[in-house]
Amino acid sequence: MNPSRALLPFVLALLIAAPAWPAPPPGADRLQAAMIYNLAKFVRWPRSHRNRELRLCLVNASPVAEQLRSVSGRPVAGRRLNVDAAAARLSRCDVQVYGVDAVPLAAAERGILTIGTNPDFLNAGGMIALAVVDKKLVFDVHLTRLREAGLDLSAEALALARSVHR
Amino acid sequence: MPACRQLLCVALLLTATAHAREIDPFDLSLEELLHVEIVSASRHAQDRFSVPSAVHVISARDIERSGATSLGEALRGVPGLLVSRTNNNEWAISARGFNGAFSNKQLVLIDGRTVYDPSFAGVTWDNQELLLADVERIEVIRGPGAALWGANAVNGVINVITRPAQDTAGMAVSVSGAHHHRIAELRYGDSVGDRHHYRVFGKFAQRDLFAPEGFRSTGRDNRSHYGGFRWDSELTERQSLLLSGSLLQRDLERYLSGLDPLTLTPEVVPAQGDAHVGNLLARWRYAGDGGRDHELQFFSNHSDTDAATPLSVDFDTYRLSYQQSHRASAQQLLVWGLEYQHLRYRSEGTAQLNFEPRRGREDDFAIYAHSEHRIDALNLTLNAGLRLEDNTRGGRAVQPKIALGWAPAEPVYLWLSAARATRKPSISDNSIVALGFPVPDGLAELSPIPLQIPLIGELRGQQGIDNEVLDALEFGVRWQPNARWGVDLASFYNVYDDFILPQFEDVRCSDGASVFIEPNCFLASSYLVASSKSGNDGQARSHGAELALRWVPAEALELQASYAYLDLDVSGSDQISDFNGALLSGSSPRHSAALTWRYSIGNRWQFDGQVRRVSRLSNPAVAGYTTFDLRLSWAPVSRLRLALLAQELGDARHLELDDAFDNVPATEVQRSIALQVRYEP
Repeated sequence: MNPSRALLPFVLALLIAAPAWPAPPPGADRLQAAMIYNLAKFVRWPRSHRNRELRLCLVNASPVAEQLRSVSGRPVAGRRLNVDAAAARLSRCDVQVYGVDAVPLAAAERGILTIGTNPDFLNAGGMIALAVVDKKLVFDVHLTRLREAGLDLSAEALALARSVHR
Repeated sequence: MPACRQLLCVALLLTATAHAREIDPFDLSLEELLHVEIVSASRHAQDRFSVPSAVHVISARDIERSGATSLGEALRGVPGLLVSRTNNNEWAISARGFNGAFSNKQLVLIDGRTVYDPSFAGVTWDNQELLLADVERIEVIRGPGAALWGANAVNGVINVITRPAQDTAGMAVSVSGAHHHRIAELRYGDSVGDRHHYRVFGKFAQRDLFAPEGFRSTGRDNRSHYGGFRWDSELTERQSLLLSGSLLQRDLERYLSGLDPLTLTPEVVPAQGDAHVGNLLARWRYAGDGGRDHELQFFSNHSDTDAATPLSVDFDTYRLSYQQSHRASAQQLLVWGLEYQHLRYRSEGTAQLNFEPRRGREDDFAIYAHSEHRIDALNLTLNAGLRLEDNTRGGRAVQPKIALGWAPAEPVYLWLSAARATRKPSISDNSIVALGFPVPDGLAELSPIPLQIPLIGELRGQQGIDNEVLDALEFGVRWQPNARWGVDLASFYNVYDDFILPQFEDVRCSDGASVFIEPNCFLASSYLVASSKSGNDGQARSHGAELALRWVPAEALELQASYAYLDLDVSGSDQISDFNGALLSGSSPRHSAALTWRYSIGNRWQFDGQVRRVSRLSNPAVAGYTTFDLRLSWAPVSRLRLALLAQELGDARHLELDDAFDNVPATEVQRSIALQVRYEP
């Protein structure tokens, strides 16, 4: 018997049996989380930080935090990612991720990258701002501030940024 | 160019599909993320879903959660890939039939380096030691890949890709202890400046031999010591360099079946051997202007094996290759390349088992091109490839492939492909001299008189035999309604021509000292010799289908199911070749299925498992079996994980394959319980 024909009822049965799930395509939160994770790979960290784990802390960014936590433990540029959704001391983090309602309160600290989704994030002292334009993610970089903190972003990532403030 | 980091850009494009069933933004590059439309499943990800061949990807997570300590274990559960454990450390693995220790229609690559034993044109799996925790993924492509990869990528390609050194920083330690094995692994990774990363690793493994029925395990002498390194350098923004190498030293023991030289009755004896395997690889990549990427690669393999059989073979392979890929536009990709390979072998055998000639050299050349064209308006992709080879064995080969992909609606993808692939003859096919092996019962009728005296076999290779040729037609459907469900169905129809099989030559008489032919020789002789030689008289056809399902009912639970149907028929032109053909078709199961689950209980606990069902083999007969593995794992702190692994929990013992072509007695697989500990920074 023709195997594909023999299988057809089986496949159809499976298709019919498949319950209608509330179809979750990769949501905006997961895409943003993936973007943050990806950006961290392109950052040149201070030499002294390179051999320890990469601590990522979140400030009022709970939906993104959920998504980021699922990749905690993965390597980022040779460092193990540690996602801390409720960091008590932000100054001990390598990456601070701010939710749409939050901006950094203090001036940039050495060795700490700040990423946020507030539309005014760069003016408020942040380094990388994420936004959605025409249903697609974009990011803007404040390179001067990033470099002041002893960090750098690779040319490859800068080339993909919507705007770079120097 | 980030989209093309692998050995073959096309290989990546081909194989990326398998990810489609589990598209995750975290698998995309920065550039890809910027192109994803947030409202629906991403266009780009959809593109990765749309590759016209049967592919399956085993992720690092799949490997970790299988508890595998060897490649064979990691490869179980892939639809359409037959994986049979023939001893504790010995495997027979092949896609779409023809499974056996000497399976010869499949190509296996580790980081772009073929791990190919030219003596039988297949893979010695027990010589492929790896640190599985440092494997990024294993891509399994079923069906012909010869248009790209060349002779021997006939029924499938297995592509093992290890992590770049920048992803394996720090000291990691793994220990796995069971009553059947003791394995320890150590890896250290670091960087030199910003642009250079390396890791060094070592592994000790001791896997007890399973004894065949009626024998006791002879001890714990199956040891392997394995070590190596990988160095990754970003020389400039556009240039990168990869250097890697490893050495394996093995002490091995196994049971061998043969004929008692005095009584000429079959006997099984324990034997010892050893193996030394080494390799070195260098790859330079340059991302040029205008979407043109260049890659230059060199590797060498050395193997010096005394596999506890009377015949030991040493070989050295050197291969130099250049490849250019040019993405002219988002719709158009062209890849072409050149390859040169030099091989040297030396063998040492006995009068009963040898290669004739005992040593040899081979020079093989290949040129290939592959183009990919996308017609966005019709949702169509058209791929076409051609590879031309000139090999010392088998001569010239033309290997074309054409494939069409069509996405009629967003979550559905249909593909169709037609290809020709060749297998070049192995050293065995050309040069084996095997005398005095037991003739299987089924051939007793070859004797012209009722058998009063023993009948023994003789096989001789033949120079100048042709390539084996496969014409394959494949068709597949993928359907991914949402992130929780994925269905992947592939079907194939294969016709093999010039199939290499032993052919009947004659039956002669022997008095033990000499072989002679005369009318009444049966009176004077002490045994009969049934003589055969390799030839291209065989024919084979197969068809089948493979189904893979993935279902994620909840965040913490993932289920994967696979089923494969196979109908294989190999026939010859005479009694001997027909008999051998029947052994090849009879050793593939008609049905095989697996169900794998991964269940996470919080961050600390994992409960995983796999159930496998394989239907009976007809010739040599092996009963169908159902077996399962369970793994319970606990991470007391984030860097440390303990796991309890129980394998082969079906019957206390079961046979997976009785290989008629090797000289190793059929051996049952036994239950095993292991405790595994892994520390990773």
